[in-house]
Amino acid sequence: MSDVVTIKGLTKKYGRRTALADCTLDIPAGHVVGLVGPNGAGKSTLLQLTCGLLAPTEGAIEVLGAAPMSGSPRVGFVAQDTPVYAGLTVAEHLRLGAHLNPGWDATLADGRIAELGLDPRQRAGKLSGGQRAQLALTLAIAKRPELLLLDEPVAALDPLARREFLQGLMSYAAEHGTSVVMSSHLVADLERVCDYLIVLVASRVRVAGEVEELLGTHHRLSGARRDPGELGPGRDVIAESHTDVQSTLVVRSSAPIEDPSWSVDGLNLEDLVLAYMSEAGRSGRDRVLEKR
Amino acid sequence: MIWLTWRQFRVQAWVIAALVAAVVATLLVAAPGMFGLYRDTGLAACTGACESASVAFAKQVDNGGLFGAYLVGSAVLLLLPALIGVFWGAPLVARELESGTHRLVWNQTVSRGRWLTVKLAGIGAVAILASGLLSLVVTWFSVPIDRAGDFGRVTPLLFSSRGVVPMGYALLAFVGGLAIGMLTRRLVVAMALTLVFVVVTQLAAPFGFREHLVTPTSSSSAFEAGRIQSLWIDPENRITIQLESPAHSSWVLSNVTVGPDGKEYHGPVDGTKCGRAGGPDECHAWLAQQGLVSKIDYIPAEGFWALQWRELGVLLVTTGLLSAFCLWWIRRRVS
Amino acid sequence: MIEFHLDSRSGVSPYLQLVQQVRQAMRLGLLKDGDRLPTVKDVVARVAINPNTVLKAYRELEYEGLVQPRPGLGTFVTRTLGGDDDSRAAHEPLRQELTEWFERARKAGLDDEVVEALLLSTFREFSEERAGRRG
Repeated sequence: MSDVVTIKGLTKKYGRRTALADCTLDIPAGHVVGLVGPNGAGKSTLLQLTCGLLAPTEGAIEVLGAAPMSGSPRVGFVAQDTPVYAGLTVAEHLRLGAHLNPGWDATLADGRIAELGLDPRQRAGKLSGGQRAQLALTLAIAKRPELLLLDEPVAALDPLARREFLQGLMSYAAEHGTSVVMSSHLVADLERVCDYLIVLVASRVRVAGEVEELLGTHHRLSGARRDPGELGPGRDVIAESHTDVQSTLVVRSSAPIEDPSWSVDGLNLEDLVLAYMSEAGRSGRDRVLEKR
Repeated sequence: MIWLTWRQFRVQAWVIAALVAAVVATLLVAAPGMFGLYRDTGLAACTGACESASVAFAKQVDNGGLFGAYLVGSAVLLLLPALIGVFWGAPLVARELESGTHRLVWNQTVSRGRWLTVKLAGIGAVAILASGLLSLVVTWFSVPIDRAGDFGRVTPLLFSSRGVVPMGYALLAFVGGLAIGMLTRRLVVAMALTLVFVVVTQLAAPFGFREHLVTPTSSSSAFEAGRIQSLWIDPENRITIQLESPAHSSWVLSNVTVGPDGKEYHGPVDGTKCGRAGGPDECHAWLAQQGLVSKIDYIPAEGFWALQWRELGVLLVTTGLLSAFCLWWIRRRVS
Repeated sequence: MIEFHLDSRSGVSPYLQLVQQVRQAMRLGLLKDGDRLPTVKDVVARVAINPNTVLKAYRELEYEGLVQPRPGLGTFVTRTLGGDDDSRAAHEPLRQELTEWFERARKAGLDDEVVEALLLSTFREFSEERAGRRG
């Protein structure tokens, strides 16, 4: 399957602050991609570079085979906090979409608004957070993009609104086969809806891959305390913790681990993401251990 | 895009349109009285100095609020660029950036360049229309007063509220406000800075570049006591004299009276003739014997339209450059 | 028609949960030969889950020979699992023995938790032994 996004050595700096550092990444088409990482890791920056709102400082990015450009009919974007015009009504937002997008799917847009039970005469400023997010999503999908980007769309929503938003998003993705990239720090949501995961920590991509594959190749090992360097080649230690008698490791390895002195468990997605996040925060001593 | 521009702009547009309409209506209602007085006092038909007609007109013009209508019209016309800059220009991009809605609208199928171009052109045209209409009515209504008054309309006090330059100021204020909003990204800050910007541009013209737009006329004439405009003796017995400009209603750029040595004349004054001891006639007669020459640089009232078009040109070129900068900046720098 | 639900705390992957729920529904007789499974879009809209996960679950069920997709119509159940009266009758003696065992356990003073642990650990050992013998 072809890639919707190809990124090579992408770097974005705001003045002296680096928001994204030397990022190289391919995102295959036809997936619902989860972009996870702590706040300030560069998720927003990566998404805004992808939709062309930002220009890279260094490196190259191709989206659907072309340099990204905001105003493209092929990419839809739901920005963080799902901004809408407070003074415009729901119906006027749809009219805005219809005026500005040649490929506007009025049936889809009107149908969604009716299904959600939104009053078209309601001003967007008076909508609840969940309704506003749904309106922003409607605008983004009714232009019928090939790639849909969402920046923390559910972060500010209550659990019910969050579920309803994801239901709408998933049924759209199921019907139209659109590739979706969605950032979030709520791993529980991503676990349901994503089949591809990118973990971004401290402005670097830590890991990217299909969720199934990631879950299949990451293991939690626990056993008597020892140096993780003994594990042998082809096994990357992602996270480790030691007590005076015990060592617990999170290891990435495509081959099964057969050493009987370890007790081996699988990981769920949340543990996996947390392991990568804590890796970034490890102290200097541990890094030396890793090198050896 | 045009629909969206209008939808987002219509409230501000109606407010200022209502203001302009109110002023225009006021002036139209007052116009018959004004032009009736202009005719009845003989000022309209008069050619030449018309001293007595002017005085008669000036005496009666305040009756029935004609002068009040004139002041309101001129004041609103001077204020219009500030209103347009602060309420049309500054919020245009700043409000989108502040509320994050630029991320919504720029991800529709419309390039940022086109988005801004439509807004610039559309609202810019409305700004020209509003200020042009108001200036037309104010300029027409003020003709009698400009003729009767001491100040010509070429002088700084009146120049900016007559003719075609109000359109230039309105447009510059609009684009300037837009640029300031885009750079500061904060609505309130942008509105405040825009107000400063508009005031500075309106002051920069009379005190900065306007006098360089046309070549002033220079006059040099022998001292005549009858033309004394001001005469002032300071405690150190230094005298400063200014004579009236040879052309009525002109904009005087420099006015000095020089002595026989060619330098500005400051005395010393004969204390027995001028000052506390002598009367004015004695002093004038004494001064007439000192070989003084009055040198005055001025822009005559006839230069009004040439100056108007040139200043409009300067304003339009500045506005054009500023617009080009905005279009470049929004494509490259804003996110 | 059945409705799916997901337990995000179970540790079982979402696609496997769907497969298990279909199998369970078939065993309980909720789904019979010829019944239609919900469409991918329906499942996705209800459960807020990745469509590929549903597709994968349906493929797995198809591979097991339990369902069959008919293009344009949906996915249909092709078998009936153990829910009919015959098989229930066949299970009856075993059920009787298990009930008697529970009564004995209760008489021996075992509480619910201990009974459950004993049942599970014995079942696990038994399964592992069988697997070991085969391997």
